[in-house]
Amino acid sequence: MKHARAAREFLSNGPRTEWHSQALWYVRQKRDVQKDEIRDWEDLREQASVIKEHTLSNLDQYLEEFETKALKNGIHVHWAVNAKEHNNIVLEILQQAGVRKLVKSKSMLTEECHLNPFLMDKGIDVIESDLGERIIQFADQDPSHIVLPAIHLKKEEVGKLFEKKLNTESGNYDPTYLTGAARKHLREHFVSAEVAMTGVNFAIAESGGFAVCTNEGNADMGVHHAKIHIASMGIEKVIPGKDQLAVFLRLLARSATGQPITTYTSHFQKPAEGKEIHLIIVDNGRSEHLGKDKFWRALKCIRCGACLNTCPVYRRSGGHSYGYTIPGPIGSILTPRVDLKQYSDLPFASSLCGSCTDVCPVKIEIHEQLYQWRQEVYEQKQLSGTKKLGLKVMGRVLARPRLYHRSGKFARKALKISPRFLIYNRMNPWGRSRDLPAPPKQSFQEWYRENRSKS
Amino acid sequence: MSKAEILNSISKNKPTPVDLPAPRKIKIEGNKDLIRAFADKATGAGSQVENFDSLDKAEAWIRQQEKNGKSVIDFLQHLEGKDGFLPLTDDTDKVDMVVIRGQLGVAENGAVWIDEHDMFIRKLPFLTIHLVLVLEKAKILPDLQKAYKQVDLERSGFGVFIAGPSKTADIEQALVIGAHGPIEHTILLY
Repeated sequence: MKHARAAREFLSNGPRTEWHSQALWYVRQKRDVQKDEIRDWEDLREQASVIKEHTLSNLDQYLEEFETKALKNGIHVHWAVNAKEHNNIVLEILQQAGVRKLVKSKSMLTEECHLNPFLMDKGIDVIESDLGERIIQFADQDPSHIVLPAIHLKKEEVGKLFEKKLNTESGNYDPTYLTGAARKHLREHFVSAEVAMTGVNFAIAESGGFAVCTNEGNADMGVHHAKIHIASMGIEKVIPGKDQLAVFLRLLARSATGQPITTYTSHFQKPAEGKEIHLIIVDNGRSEHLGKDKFWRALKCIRCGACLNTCPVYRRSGGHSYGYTIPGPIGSILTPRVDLKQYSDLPFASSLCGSCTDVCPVKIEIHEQLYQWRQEVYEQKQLSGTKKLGLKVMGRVLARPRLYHRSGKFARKALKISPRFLIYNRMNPWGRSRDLPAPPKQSFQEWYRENRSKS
Repeated sequence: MSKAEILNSISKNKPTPVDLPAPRKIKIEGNKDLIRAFADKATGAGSQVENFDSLDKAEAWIRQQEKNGKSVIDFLQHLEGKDGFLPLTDDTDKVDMVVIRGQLGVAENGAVWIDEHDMFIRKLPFLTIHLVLVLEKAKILPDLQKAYKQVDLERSGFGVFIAGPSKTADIEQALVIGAHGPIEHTILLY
């Protein structure tokens, strides 16, 4: 019930919850406008889906091809089995260069690996340079969304943070003013950066380079000033070639923020003269996930966040309620493989309405996987007590028609005459903020029998 | 060591091979006039688009900016290399405007492709306050899939599609032009 508990807290402020929900719905609507401009949108999704399935089912070959080409391009390639290895590689590169500051652009993988706290423990100054990431770094929080990390914060809260950290005018909460202050502050860090880090949106096997998409230009400002560029990618980020890249880029920004393309789509092929590029290829449980027959397709994800923006549960519970780096529907099908016990409640944080599946640009059947994970949670005996009991009783009743009829009759009567505390109590979490509809006078079967005999 | 471990795990776990689909044509709604469609999308991304009937006239526009007192690094004029510009780039306030020739434009999103050979110093298009891209109208292609057929990723060490000035909406989804990169972005079509 961890998600439910956290969500309850988020929901305690009604107007704010509605504000959050509407902000995300606005992004979903922008996405709809963009996708309608492509008449063959469904064909494009289908292509993207099959390309990912092809690449994932030949992943070892593509990674080897990519590495060979990347090495030829003069890129240093590192492999990390898990988060710990990844973090140590980053630290080693920094230590060898004798550098104590790292300027970072957005990377969900480094969040997954908890790189920042690890580096800060070792005395490294970590500067997040994406505006949203910088804001939540100032606030000492985790991102609540994979594309819009500070979507849960109001401009007044950002303004107050900036007053403290950047000495901005007190009471000035104008987004343009605040962004200007961050620009000035971060420019100093960009210009003095010696090592800069980015994520990877797509790694291209045929040419051994990689693409990074941003709107702010922070990734480029960092790495082009720095001597060393470190880029981290999950093993699933590799794609065959530029023909396939074109398919994904047509889908990515349209699905993510409702733009036809991000401002910058930067292709790093070789290090600039006298500079270095280090690429870290990270597994961290992904290859094992690939072996799960019902769930491997979740690895097709290109991290656009469309499923978060559309999800009625995410919009009303906020990213932090999920308790994992990647929240929302896609997070709920990625986390159970990380730790089924810890995240056993996340597959239930969904109404199974299927909207996530409808908007997914690579056609991951998210809601079906959520449903499958629920079975898995039951089979692995990780179901919570109340849920288990409820399902057991329900299963017995539904399997026995006569018991079902009798129970129905009893419930219709009981609901009518029972005092409120008997129905709405701790055993009925559903009824905490909802009332049951008034019980009908008769069941459908009774009504049918009565009316058929009439006609 | 880690590499072998990861690759072994993948080969043990990977699903049954799926064939790579052959690229298919994807239709877009909207303007058949490529130049118009491109200009619309570029404007939507925050660019200013100026039309000229010759390259000479586009260059005259650039000279006018210099006369107005802007410090301009113009790669149409200086195609020989980066010598002479490097000292300028150390002081970010000195680069008011950078002019770069675009290789191709994409009508479906208003993006223009440039690579390292077009600007020599990778950080210049990001550092400048005002980026100007000069593009021949005949180099506009309908969509990204056609554009990537012509893009040569291996021609240089770095290439980038740029659509408009840098921007962010990280504070309450309010669009702010000029995040970390250029605040102004102009495309000179000829």
